[in-house]
Amino acid sequence: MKIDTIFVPGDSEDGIWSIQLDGETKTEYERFFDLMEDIESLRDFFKRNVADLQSRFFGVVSFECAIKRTLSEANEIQDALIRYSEYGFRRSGANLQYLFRPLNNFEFAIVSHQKSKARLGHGWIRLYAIRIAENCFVMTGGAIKLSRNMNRPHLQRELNKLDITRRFLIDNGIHYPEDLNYYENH
Amino acid sequence: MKTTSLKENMSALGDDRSSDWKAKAKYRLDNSEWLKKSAIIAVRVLDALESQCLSQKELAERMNISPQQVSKIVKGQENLTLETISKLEVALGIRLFEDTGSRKGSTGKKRKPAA
Repeated sequence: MKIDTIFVPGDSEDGIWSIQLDGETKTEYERFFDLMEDIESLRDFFKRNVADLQSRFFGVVSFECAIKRTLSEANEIQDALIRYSEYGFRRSGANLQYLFRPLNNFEFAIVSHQKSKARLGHGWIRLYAIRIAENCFVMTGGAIKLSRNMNRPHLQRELNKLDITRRFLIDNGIHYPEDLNYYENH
Repeated sequence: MKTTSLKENMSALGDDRSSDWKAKAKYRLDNSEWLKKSAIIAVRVLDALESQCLSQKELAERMNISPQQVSKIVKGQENLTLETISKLEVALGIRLFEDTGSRKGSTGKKRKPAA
C-alpha cells in the first residue's frame, strides 16, 4: 500500500490523501470517481443490487434514474472538494470534519485514526477515510450505499480497506497530536 | 532527535506523484450536460442489447464501427455525433430521442388566430 496526495494546499498539512493498493495503477480516490462515471459498470452495479434499489427506501426504480442521480451526486461532491482545494480551510464552515463524520452513526466522540465517512445530505454515495486531524483525512475508497447496514459485499470490502489502512498508518507512525503541528520522530 | 512534519511522514509512504484529480473533476463538471445525455444513451443502448440478446461486438458489426468504439459509447464517455446516434437507432431499432419535429400538425407555420 502507498499513500498519495490528492490535495494538500501550499505548505499546510491539511488536505486529503488517498491510499493506492498494491497492484493498482490509480489511487482509491481516482478509482472510485472513475467508476462513478462508467455507465456500464454503474448499470451492472444497480442490476446486481436491484432489490435494494427497488426497496423504496430511496424511491428510485429505473436504472436510468439511478444513474442520473449518481452522476449528479458525484459531481456535487467533486465540486465541494474543488472548492476546498482552491479556497482552503479558513472560511467559515470550510472544515473537512463537517464533510467527514464518524463511520458509526452513534459514535459522537472524535478519536485518533477514526474510521470516517462523507456524504451529501440524504445521498447514497459514501466516501470512506481515516481521520488523521481535523482537516486531514486519508481516503480509502467509496461506495454507493443502498442498504441500511454495511452487510453487502461491496460495503464489506470498504470496511476491510478502512481496517487495513488504519493499521498501516498506525504501524508507520502516522499520528497527529491535535494540539501540535509537529511531532517527534525518534 | 529529528522533528518531522506530518506531511513529510505521509509523503514518505508514497511516491509523491501529483494527482490529476482536479483536472478530471473540472472536466466532468464543465462537460456535465453532454455527459449526462451520453449516459442516458449508454443506458438505453445497454437495455436494448440485453433485451435483444445482442453482444457489443455484434452491435459494432451492425454499425460498421470498432468494438472499442461501442465500449466507449456504453461507458457514457463519448461525445456522440448525430450520425452515430442515428446509426445506433437503426442498428438497434429503437428511438434514443423523440423526434419532436414530426408531430402531427407541427409545420412550423404560425396558425391564424380564430376569428
